Amino acid sequence: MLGHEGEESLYAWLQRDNLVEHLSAGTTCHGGDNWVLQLHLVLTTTGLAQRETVVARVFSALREFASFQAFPDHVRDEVNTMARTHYQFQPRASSVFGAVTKLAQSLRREPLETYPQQLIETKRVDQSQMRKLWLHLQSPSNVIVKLVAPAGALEAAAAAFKTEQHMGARYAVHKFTPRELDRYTDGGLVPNRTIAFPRPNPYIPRKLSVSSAPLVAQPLVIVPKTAQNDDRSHVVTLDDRFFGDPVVHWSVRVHSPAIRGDSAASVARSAVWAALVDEQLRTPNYTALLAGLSFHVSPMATGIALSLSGYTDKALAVWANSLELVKAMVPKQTAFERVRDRHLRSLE
Amino acid sequence: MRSQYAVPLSTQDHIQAMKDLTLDDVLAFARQWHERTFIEATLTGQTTDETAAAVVAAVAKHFQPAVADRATVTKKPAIKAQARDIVESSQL
Repeated sequence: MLGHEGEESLYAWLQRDNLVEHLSAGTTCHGGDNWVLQLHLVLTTTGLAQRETVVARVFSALREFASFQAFPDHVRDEVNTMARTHYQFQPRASSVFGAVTKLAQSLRREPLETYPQQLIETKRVDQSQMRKLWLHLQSPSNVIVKLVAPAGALEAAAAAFKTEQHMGARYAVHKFTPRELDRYTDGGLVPNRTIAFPRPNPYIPRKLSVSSAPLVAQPLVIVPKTAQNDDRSHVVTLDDRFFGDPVVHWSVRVHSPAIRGDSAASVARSAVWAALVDEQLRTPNYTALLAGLSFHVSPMATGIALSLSGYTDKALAVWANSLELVKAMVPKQTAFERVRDRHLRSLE
Repeated sequence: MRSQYAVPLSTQDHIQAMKDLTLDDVLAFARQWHERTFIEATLTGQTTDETAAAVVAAVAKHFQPAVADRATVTKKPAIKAQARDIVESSQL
């Protein structure tokens, strides 16, 4: 719920005011029985300057989730469907050691009689326990905020910096002040009624099956097939006859004389436009991403590359919708400045 | 970001171009870049011929109002010629 990037999410709320570039949430296991919930936010320059607002919105979102009466069944069902699908059609691991380590770690958490069913599927959501968790998380006394930023951006706190003895890294530690505590608890929080549980995801795959075509033992014998080669397009298909998994990888390069890799101005225009499109598609396409389908736009020296990877079932629908969005995209000044600044930082 | 073609561009060139870029430039680019295009697709996995045709048709619907000369926009020598044009036009 916290890491969701849909229209009614914490991420969308922070993005609307240009406070974050990315947001993700997850848990890490510390020992046998301890789990830490982590929320990772990549702040914009504006977000760094207004970091108290960012933290206050996180607490505000936690309070909103705690106020909801019931965890929706459709979210649990979708998460279960995708977990089963990913398990059923998991990619072959390139690192045997990594795969075995992961298996050994997960085997500790479920008896062999049922493994891995309980780890994959959530049979029931205990509403009262869920509510307790939200309430626990929304108390600042249970939260640690870590901020990593260029020293120059934290001038006001510079006097409090210490130097770590082994690596020489500079750091400072401080407790939430009474003013911050007021801001992060009930009295000081600004409610946001736009935050809601995600709606049903139309892209969750329903019909997936391994290829019925006979599979081959050696992938090297598979020959690409030219489906189209004329003045409009050159299309090559390559049937997966080795794994047979119900996935597609589509890469389409749209060459244009208006895009030239030998002109810095042209490179800048296409790079920023592609990054803006990719960023603005993030929220509307987040449901597709949750359903295992990722669509991207990137610049090339001679045009724009469009790509999609994921499960076959809804791939064409995501492809068509994404292209509509790419064509209709009109960037705003704040988004443009954020993306251009990011490119400048990477160049400098 | 660095060009793979004949005219070398320095990082400083890219930084300056990025600093000079405006939102209006990007909006104009968004309107114009797909006026003439050539589509090159590689479709792998469980993709039937019908699906492949639909994938390319969806791209053409939005990004191919007119066909570009294939060699001009995809081949390296043509890029070199474009670069020569830029140098000559900048000397005028």
